[in-house]
Amino acid sequence: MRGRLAASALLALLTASPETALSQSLQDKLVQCAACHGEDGRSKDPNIPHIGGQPKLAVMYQLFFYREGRRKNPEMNLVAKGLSDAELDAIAEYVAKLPPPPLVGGEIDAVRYRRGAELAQKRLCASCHNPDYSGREQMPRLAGQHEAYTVKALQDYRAGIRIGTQAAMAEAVRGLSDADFADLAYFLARVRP
Amino acid sequence: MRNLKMGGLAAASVLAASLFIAGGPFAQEKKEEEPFWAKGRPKEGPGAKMAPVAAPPIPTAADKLPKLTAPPGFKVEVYQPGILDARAIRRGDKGTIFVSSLFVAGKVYAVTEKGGKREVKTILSGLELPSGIEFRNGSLYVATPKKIMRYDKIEDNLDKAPDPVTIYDKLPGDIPHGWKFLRFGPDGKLYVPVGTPCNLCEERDTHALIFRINADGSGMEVVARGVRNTVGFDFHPKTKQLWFTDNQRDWLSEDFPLDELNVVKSPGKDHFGYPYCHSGTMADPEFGWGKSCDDYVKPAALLGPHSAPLGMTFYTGKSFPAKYRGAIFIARHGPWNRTKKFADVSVAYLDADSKVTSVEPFLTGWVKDNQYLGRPVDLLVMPDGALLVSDDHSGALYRVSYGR
Repeated sequence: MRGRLAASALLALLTASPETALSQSLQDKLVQCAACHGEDGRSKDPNIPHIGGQPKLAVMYQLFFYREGRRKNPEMNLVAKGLSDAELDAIAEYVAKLPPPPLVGGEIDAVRYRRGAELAQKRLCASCHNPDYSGREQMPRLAGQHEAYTVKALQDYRAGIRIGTQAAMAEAVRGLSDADFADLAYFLARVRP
Repeated sequence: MRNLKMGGLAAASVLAASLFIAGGPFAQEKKEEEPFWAKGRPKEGPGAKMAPVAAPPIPTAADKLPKLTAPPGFKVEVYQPGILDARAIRRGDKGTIFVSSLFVAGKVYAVTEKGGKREVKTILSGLELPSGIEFRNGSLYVATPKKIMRYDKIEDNLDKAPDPVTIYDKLPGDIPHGWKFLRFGPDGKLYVPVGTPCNLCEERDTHALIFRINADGSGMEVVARGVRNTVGFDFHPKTKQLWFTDNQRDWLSEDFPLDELNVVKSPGKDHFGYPYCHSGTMADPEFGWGKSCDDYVKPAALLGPHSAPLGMTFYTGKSFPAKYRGAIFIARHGPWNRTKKFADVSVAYLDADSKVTSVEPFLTGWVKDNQYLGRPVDLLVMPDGALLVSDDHSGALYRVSYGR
C-alpha cells in the first residue's frame, strides 16, 4: 500500500508538466466558480448569472474584463485577478461545455411576454444573439438567464458602465426604460423557440 | 468599420413567439420606426446575421501570426508580438514606439529597444477607448471619446507616466464612433475627428466632422463636415492638404457603399456628403431625397465595399522604390458588414497633380477561409524608411522593409 502510494507520487512527479500544473490550479479555480455559479453552471441567486452553455469567447471576454478591472464586481475581480491567458482560455472552454440553463417554466404572463418579444424584435437582439438567444462568439446566451441579472446588465450598458467589445450594446439599449428592460428579461428567461 | 450593428430578428422566432401567446389581450400592432442604427439591414438571410467581429482577448502567439506577403523585394517580419488590441502607432523622438488600444485593452503601450532587445511596457491603463495618440515635442497626447490629455516628458518616464494635463474636454463622449485618431498638422494644430454616433442619422452640428485646435486646446474650428467616421488621416507632404479615410454607412448591400479616401481643399467649407450621399455617387435611400451628390465634395478614391479603411500615411521614407515615394499606404481593416471578408494594406498612387491614379493591394494574407487572422489598423514610416503596421486582431506589430 505504502509502496504503491510512493510509486504513484513519484509517477506524478515524473510526469509533472506545465499542463498538469495548470489543471491543478484550474481545478481550484473551477471550485471557486461553482461556489456561486453552481456545479453545473446554474446559479441559485438571481443576481448571479447562469454561466452554463455560454459561448466560449463570451466567457473569455467577461473573465478578461474582470481581470483587467474593466468590469467591476468585488468577488469576480478577486477571482479573476492573476488569471493567466492560458487559464482564461481553459476556464472558458470548461464553462462553455456545461449545460445551458433551463428556460423558466410555469404559467406565462402573455402580455409581458409579448411586450418583451416585441422589444427584442425592434432592437434586433436575435441578429447577434441568435434566433433562439443561445448566443455566439463574444455575444452571450440570453435564453433562460435570471431576470434580475439581465436587467442589471442592460442597465449597466445603458449607463456606459459596461461597454463590451464593440459599441453594439450601447446602441441596442439606447432610450429604453427600466420597465422595458424588465419586459425584455422576462421574455428572455422564458423564450420559446 | 468596427461599428454599430444589430441585425434582424429571424422572423421565425418572433412568429413562433406570437403563435405561442396567440390570444393575448391586445393584438394591436404599434407601428414604430426601425432603430436608426439598423437602417437598411436585411430582415433575413446571411446579411441579417452579421455581427461585429471580435478576436479573443489574448494576443496571438508569435508562431501563429499570419504570414503576410508584400511585393517582390520587400521583407515582412514580426516586429513585436503580444500587444493586445494594438491600434494607433506613433514614434517618440527618442525612438519609443507608442501603441494605443480601443475597446479590449484600454491601454497605451510603449515598445522600447535596448541592446537589440525589444520590450513592451504598459504605460497607461484603465482608460476608456484610448485609441487616439500623437507625439510632439516630448509629449504624448492621448484622446478618449471624452477628452484629450497630454503627458509631458513621457519618454523619460515610461515606468511611471506623469499626471496628464487635460487640454480639451468638450468632446461629445459617445461610445459609437466616439473613438479618436489624432495627428498634428503642418500648421502646428491638432486634428481631431468626431464620428457620427450611429450607423446613419441626420447630421448634427456637433458630429460627423473633423476639427482642429491649437496644441493647448484653444481655438477650436471645424475643418470638414459630412465625415461619417474617419479613423485615419495624414497631410500631403507638398500641398499640405489634409487627406483622410472615411468609413461609409453599414448595410445597403454586399458591394455598396464603397469607403472613401478624401482631400480637404477648402478647410471649414468642405462637406463630404454624409448622411445624404454615399461614395460620391448615391443619394441615401432615406436621407438623400431632395439632395444631390454633386453638392458635396467627391472622394479622391474609393477603397472598397465596407472595407473599413483606418490608418493612412504618405510614404515619406527613402528606402522603398521610387514609385512608392509620395504614395499613400492605407490600412483596410476589413468589413464586418459584408459576408465575404477581406483586409490588406493598400497603396494609393498619386500623379504630379496629386490625383489618385490607382489603388492596389500591398500587404496581404490577413484572411483565411473567410476568417480574420489579423486586421491592419495603423501605419508608421520609420526613420530607416521601413513601414510599421499594427494589427489589433492578433495583437502585433509588423515591419515591412525593402532590400537586404
